Amino acid sequence: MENTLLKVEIDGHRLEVTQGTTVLEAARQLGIFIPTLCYHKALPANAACRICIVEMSIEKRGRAYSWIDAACVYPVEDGLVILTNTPKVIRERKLILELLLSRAPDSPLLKAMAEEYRAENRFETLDKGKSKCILCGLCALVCQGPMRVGGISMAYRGIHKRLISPYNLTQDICIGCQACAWVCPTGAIQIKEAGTNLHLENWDTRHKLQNCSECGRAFAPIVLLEKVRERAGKDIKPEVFNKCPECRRKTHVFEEKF
Amino acid sequence: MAVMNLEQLDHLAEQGRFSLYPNRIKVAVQMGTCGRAAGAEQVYDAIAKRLDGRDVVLSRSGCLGFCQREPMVNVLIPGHAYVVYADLTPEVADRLAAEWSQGKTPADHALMQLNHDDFGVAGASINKTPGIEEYKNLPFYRSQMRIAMRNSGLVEPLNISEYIARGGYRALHRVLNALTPEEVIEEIDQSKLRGRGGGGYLTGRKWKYCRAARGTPKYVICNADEGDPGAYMDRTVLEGDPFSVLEGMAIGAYAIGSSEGYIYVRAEYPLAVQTMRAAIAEARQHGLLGDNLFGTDFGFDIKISRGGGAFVCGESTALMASIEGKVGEPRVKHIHTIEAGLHEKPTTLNNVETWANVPSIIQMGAKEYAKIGTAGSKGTKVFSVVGKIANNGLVEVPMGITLREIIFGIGGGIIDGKRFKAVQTGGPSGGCLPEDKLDMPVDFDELTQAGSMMGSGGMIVMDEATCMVDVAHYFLSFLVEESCGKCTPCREGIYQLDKIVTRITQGEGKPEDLESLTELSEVIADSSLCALGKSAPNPVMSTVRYFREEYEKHIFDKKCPAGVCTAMFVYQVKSEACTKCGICFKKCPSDAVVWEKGVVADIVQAKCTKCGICHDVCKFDAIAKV
Repeated sequence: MENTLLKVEIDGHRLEVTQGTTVLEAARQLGIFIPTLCYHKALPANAACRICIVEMSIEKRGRAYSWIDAACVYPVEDGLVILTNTPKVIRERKLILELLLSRAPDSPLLKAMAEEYRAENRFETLDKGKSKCILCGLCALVCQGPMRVGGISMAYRGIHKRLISPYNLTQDICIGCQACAWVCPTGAIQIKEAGTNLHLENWDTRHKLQNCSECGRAFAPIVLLEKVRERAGKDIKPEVFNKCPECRRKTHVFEEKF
Repeated sequence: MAVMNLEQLDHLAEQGRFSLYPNRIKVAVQMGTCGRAAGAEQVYDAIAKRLDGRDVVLSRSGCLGFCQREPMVNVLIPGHAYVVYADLTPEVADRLAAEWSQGKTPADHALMQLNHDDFGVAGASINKTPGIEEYKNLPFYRSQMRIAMRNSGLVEPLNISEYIARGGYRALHRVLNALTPEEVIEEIDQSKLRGRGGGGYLTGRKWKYCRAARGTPKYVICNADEGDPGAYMDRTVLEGDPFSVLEGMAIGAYAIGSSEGYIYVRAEYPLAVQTMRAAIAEARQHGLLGDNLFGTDFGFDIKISRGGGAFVCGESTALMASIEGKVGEPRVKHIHTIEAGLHEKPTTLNNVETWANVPSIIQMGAKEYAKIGTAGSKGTKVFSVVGKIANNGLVEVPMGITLREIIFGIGGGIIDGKRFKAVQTGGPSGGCLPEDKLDMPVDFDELTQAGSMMGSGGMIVMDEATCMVDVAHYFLSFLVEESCGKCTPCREGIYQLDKIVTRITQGEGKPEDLESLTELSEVIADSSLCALGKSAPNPVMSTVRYFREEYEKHIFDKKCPAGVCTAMFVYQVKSEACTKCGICFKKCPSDAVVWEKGVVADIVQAKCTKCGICHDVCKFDAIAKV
């Protein structure tokens, strides 16, 4: 069952994929572009932003079904026909983009996409212009998932939804890894670096940075280095953690094992 | 003591029969949440005080569904049919209790007499009381057919022997001793029972797939997170007949191969939670939950999980996330919950009413059950009929009955002699149907086709004084607060719909608004993640579809034809009708009325808050909305 290949047709191109492949993955195999915002390869698909909607149709038990669905999570079925760029899809994607724009009008990525879809910022929201966040939830997913920290989570409902630190307080469980900023599609997470101080403004969290023992440059939060040391185990020499990546490469590159 | 066989079940049934029909006078006060809200507790206290020291059995029951006439009391004089008294106050109850205790059932305040036979289960042959209407002849009950609510209002909710006396636990006994799980599923499949929570998915098919799904343990869940405004049928079943749900769940668990169940009930239903807790304990004590039911090797137990008040947790995946202790947000269902539900294990979730139907289907047989209803929707459905209607209450009717029969036959028509305007079915994400849809047969497919839905069975009746734009605004503002906010179209889209509709009700509608509403609705319905979002535009789409000219009047003429949207009219005194009585002056809470004795009143618009009190108190119709 797991090894059967499923036939799928995307924008007229045929392809066979394995069970469990999503429509988005299949399209990418064909080199067909479907826009995404809340999708990140390293994280489970959240299917929240809905910008990747496509038109799907299939024939089952003699009846034809056709509907709109998110490509990032929909698992390919045998005989599925997908259209990624019909006028209907473009129209609906444009409106979703306009809804997102009303929430985060200053995001450069959204602005660029809006230009492409001729979307206008025509709706109003509660906190217009205050944030670049589109509430996709990737930051919370990466923090709770791969980083195993849980320093950010979704809170409140509906239009009041926010991404907050636990109890909305200045938190002490953040390890300063900045993975949240790395995965954020809209650049909504503000991080300021000054000297040996690191400030994650969204959650008002501050960290002290470690100075490199070689060049003296401040390069990573001390708590983060401790966390990495903990997870890496005892095999790695402690002094490795006090060096910035460049110096580490220079001094340890010829060693077989750190 | 654990019930092991049919003999012991019969023995309990005998006890139950004696408890239902004692050889003494019996008075049972209907004490569901609805009854208590109407004052049943005070009535109970008054009766208890009066009957103190007399040879009368005093007990409690759930709700009979006729909520308009509560508090209600069932009175049994041995050898006679139950007489149901309605509209009681403590004073009236006290006076009547004195008569009851002497074996008299006066016609004063008597609503009807009913024999338990009327609900389809055999009782003793009983003498009628002359001068009191029979249950079957009452317009409210005439076209009703009670399956899910077969016991509610008749039995003492927590008395398991009364439930058994009325046929309870025989279905489970038969299932465990004479049927294989496959045969049970076949029976439910044949009955064509469709989920009563709103989705309308075939229950038998759901069970079949869940049984076939790989993975253990499997779970059964009862969805009692009834969140639709104006809907309370699940609460009434839980409070009035808890064992029917427990028995149904045990049968379902046996069918799919599960030994663990959950009842997810909203915390806003404290009495239902309390009743279910006690019922579970009672069932365990009788060996009807726990290990080795009826001496077989099938075991099943139930835990209660309380919801925290989020409407979206009625959605199956959000509900399961909530039971797991996570944030109640839906996830995509491309892998169905019957394969990977609670804790990623195969899970069968049905709503309260569906579970309550199961024992009856096993007992009456799928063939009999499938005779009730329409081609696509079998059996009965409980509706909570509320709004501007004479008889508010819960009605259980066979599928296929017309809306007209429900609203004008059972419901007794519109109050205050006003005209019917619309009926909203299916809860906040259902739709509003106009007068020309009244003769439509009520079933899952017809309602969906008309742009509304069955939902869990809420039915809100509206009269001509209702503004349909205002109605759309009400439901949208509910959905704005209750959208979980996970996906863009639902979170942002409903908010925008609400903003536009609000603007229209404030007299600031723009010509392009109708188009924007349609455009937004289409995208929200197409691209939202879960059923809440997909059906959320229904209140807008159905009102635009059926009451378009009302929207147009708001937008282009800046007039609210129903006189509801306060931004579009002012109150003015008609000097020719004014009798100079001054009542408007006296009642106005914001000092906006100028009046002196012998002078026609006048309203100062700058001060008027348009509360409408002057309009309501004027006996001469001298205050008009202009």
